[in-house]
Amino acid sequence: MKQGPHSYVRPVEVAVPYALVVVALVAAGIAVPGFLSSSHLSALSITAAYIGIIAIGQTMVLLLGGIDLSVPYMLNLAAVLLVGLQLSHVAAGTDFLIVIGLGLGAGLINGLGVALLDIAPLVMTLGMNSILEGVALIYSNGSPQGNAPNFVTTLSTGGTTVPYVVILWFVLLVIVTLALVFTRFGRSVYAVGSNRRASDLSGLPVKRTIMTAYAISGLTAALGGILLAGYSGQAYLGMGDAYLLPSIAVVVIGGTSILGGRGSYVQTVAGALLITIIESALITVGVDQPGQDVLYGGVILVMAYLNQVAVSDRRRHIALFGGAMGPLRGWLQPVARAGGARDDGGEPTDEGDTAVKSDDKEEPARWMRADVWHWSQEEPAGSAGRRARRFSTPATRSS
Amino acid sequence: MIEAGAGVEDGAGEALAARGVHKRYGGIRALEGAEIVAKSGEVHALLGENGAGKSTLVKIFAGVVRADEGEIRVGGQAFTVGSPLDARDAGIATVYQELSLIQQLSVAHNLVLTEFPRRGPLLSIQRAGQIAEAALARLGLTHIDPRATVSSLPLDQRQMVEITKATMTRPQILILDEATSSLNRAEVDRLFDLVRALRDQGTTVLVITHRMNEVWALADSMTILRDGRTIGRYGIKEIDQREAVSLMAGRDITSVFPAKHSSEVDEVELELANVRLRRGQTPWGLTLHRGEILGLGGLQGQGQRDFLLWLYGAGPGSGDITRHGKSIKVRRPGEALRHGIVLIPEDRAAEGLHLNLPVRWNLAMATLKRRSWFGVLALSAEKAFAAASVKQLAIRLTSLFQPVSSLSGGTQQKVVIGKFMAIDPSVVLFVDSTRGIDVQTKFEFYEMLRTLARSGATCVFYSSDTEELVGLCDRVAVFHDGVPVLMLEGDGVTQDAVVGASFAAVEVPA
Amino acid sequence: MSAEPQRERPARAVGLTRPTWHRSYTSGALVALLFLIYLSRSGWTFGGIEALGITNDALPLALAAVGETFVILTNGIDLSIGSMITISNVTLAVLDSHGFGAFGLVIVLAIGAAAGLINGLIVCFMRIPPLIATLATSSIYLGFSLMILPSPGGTVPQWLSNWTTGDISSSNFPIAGLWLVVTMVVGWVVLRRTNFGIRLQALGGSESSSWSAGISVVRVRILAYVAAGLCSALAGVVLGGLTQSGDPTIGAVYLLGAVAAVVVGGTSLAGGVGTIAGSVLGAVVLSLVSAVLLVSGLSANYQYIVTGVIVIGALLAHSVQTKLSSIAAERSRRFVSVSTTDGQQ
Repeated sequence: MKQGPHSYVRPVEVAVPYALVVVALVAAGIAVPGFLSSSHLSALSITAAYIGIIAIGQTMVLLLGGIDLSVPYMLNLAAVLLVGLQLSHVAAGTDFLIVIGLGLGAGLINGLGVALLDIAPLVMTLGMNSILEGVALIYSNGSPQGNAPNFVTTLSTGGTTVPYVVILWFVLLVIVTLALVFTRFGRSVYAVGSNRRASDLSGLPVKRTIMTAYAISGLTAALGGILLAGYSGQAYLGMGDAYLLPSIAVVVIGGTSILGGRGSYVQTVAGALLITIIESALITVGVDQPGQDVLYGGVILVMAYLNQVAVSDRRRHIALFGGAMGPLRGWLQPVARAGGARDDGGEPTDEGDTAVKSDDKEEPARWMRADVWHWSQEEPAGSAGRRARRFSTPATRSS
Repeated sequence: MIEAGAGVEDGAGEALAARGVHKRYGGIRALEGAEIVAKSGEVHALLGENGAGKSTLVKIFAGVVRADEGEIRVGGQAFTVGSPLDARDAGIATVYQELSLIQQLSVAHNLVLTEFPRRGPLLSIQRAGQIAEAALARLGLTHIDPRATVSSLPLDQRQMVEITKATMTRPQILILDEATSSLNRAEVDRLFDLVRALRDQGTTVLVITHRMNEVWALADSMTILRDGRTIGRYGIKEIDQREAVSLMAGRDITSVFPAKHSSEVDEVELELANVRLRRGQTPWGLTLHRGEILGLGGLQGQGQRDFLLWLYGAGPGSGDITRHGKSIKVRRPGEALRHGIVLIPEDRAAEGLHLNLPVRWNLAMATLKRRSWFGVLALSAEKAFAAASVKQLAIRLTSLFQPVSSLSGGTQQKVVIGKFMAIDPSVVLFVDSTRGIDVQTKFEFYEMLRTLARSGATCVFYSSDTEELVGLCDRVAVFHDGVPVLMLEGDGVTQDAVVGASFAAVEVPA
Repeated sequence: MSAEPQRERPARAVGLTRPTWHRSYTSGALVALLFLIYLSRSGWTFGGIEALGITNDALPLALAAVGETFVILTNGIDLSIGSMITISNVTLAVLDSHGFGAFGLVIVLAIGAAAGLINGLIVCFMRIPPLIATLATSSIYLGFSLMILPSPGGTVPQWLSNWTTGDISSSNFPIAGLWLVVTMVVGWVVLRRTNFGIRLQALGGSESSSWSAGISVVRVRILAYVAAGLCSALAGVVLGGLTQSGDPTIGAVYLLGAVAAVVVGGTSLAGGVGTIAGSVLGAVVLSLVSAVLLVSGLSANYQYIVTGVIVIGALLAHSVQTKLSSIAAERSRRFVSVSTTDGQQ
């Protein structure tokens, strides 16, 4: 099956989550009267936008193969700071910028720790979360005072036909997707997530990519905090805790691999919509918070399992985490290579679809003119020497 | 199927015999009616090129893989070996090149891992130590301390512990699969003493190795495989290396290496000075000429790899690099690429490819900058580039977007090289690129190297195979402890010279 | 034996013979250091009350950390520790308020083990990375906790409180302190003197080697998660004894604390290297930190910042130490390889 000319993400990977969204909408529409009313859908889209925007950063970081657990208090601190600065009569536009800057800065520190100091993302961001919590507590003295600036509230809750937040979300969706597909940075994100060492040896700016991704994550978490502060007009401590799991869940549900190197933000958007619809349906049906928590976890497990089964993540998972098939990793090689079903490989066919018009624009490099390339197609099956390195554990980090 | 050789017997004295073994992996026939017989108390070698089926046969004996057809007899008794436990019950123990020891645990822990001695309800470390000491002593390895952590032992001692571990179950048959690949000559000698001791104690040893001289130094007889079939079983005195190699390859190997042309080489490409790979070393220098193939020789781990990595900006070290008269800095691989220096990594899966990413992306990975404008990629140019590369490399694909993991190993290697060659490099660094590659592919590789050199590129070639170094390279720098101690040129490039230099630098440390 | 040449002293690279000991020295040193700081701030008084406070703080955290250690040693992670503590705690409180008494304790432990079992099964058979899997189960267990006990309440058996809080009979030594020592000892015995523990270490060291040695990777891994569940249950029980009621919000903070204690204690996140003692001492370190902050007059809010910094700093310190010792090993090994050819040491 031929994919789009510029796309690495297969259409089916995007189609399935969105199809599920449609299914969920239909199901909810039937089960819950008034669910599909424009006012309700509008409210839903706002809620989805919040988590969707926050999940931009998480998507990037997960694509890299990392994780950002500092979302809760990055969000919270941003909100607290925003309303607090208002209290000190700082100009609305300035305090917005200050808070955004803080998000970038904190994210950048996360990135520095992970990229330069080789600190496991789990620990770095978990620690950072705690630090930001302390800062938020100290700054607000336990009870945040102040109100969100007007323009933030408008942005966050306003908009007649289409809520402003949703427009913002859409704009960000376009920007992020363009960045991931068309820029060197985006390509590097996928590359580093796929194989950090090989990316380094291919000359890619690995450290810079990592730092940028974490900085973006801090930025979007802060943005989320700002928007949430605008939503309720105020900030309160603990407001960010409810957003950590969802920010990861929507990414995973959308089909992005948590191991890195595979996925897209478009899929995350679908995940955000899906989660929001399900949650809203559950609330209206009468399932309370605890029940939602349980279902949340269940949905994540199911989707993660399905995604992993459907995609050839299995082999990478096996290589990394073992599990029932884990130990067979090395021995599976000849089997997999010879006849196992795979993405699009299978038996290489003659000529096939490589018939792309070769432009004269690219002058073949010097080496290409030498016509001595006829490597035997025979594969040294299972040579005892090689074995893929373990992925990104601190102990096996490259030099 | 057994041709010439030490007389066909009726099964008496056969410690390990396999007949009519067939194994297919999907479309690939790994073994077709292979046959092997190892007599008790002998060291038997299994020879064959990569892809001949040696590894598969070993895996069948080890119980990792099950044969489709065939009969396996151990000590005359038929056995079905369907799991590692079955193999153990059958009296077969296997030692691989990759160590299966737990590095963080002690020698004793590793030796008794699955059958830890107890004292009461708890495990007894003391008794474990005693058992370990006895096992080591049985093999004459009294210099290895059972309490030492495996990671603190030198490589050859670890291999010996590995072998000791395999003997804990008192196997009748010990299989050594490429057990010496990471060892230097001295270490290999010590290992062989151990193997002979085992043989004298009555264990039958099956040895699989690529190193021919080891076979003639150690084995009593051999079986040659080719394309999944047994060509024959021979006593060690009946056949020499040359014949064996021809039988393995199925053709007569005459000259392997393309002609050198070192006399035409003159112009300086890179001038290295004040190089220090580690702190506290005496600085050294080196000159690289255009169009030459420079080999890095010496024992393994003497800094050849570190040198290449440093030169590429991917490893520690310091030094001045001058290119075409101008001083340059290479702190990152990206900078090296910019200066036309390219490194073909050793482990293509772990270091050279992004396995789950499309072929197209892999090919383009090192040259993203030149097809982008202020950070934005020109994707149609990329598509054209990828298509042209694929054509040039003669890679057969369904689609440019198929993941590179779906390609065969040889094709993957093409992708790696293609990716880097797209830079149009002036200096190409090869880190042990021919390890584990079969003879046919090696020929093609040598041809490519020579063509590269002839077209003006500088090739620096690190290989652990001395014969290859000598046959291929115009000059050879022999490394010891991070420093090139000797440079051989022209007629001086001989195997004896390289090997001699590798050891000559060994001094008694202060 | 006596006629043979004297055994050569094997090449031992710096700091590599007993790597785990080295690493737990750090947390021990930190404990001593913090203790001194504490004393200096509190006017050099340290009595029963202070000890009580610190050990009461440390015990649940130490238990959680020990559980987390088992999982981390297998190159996994368990982010549901906090929720498992919570569910144990609330279940205990609810059961006791219905008169279950000691039997309730058994049920609670069984629930903890079951939760751990579920974690292990998901990681091993659904092939979902532990990070996501335990994050998801964390939400599930928390949900159940809230269903069981929506707000703080319930009762706790009196004898449990007696056995966890207060001092031993009429001495000045806190019971919790004793339990800390017991935890260290039991944990050490399990890790170093049982088959399970040895296999756990092997698994963390090298999964493929363990498998080829015939160890059931799946079974050991699942058991590690079960152990984490049990330890969490114990922590929940202890917390019940300390607070004398159930609280569905009680477990949340322990996730960071447990990971922090493990990291401070020197266990490597990649598995294979680590000690129980280190993690327990790591928990003591964290408790001492908040005690020091308290006694210095700083508000408790600073604790979060300090904990975060300590976690990151400890990981950094340990990874630097590992890199240094492996460089040292490289260096000394090189010489040995060559020199033993000459029969020299």
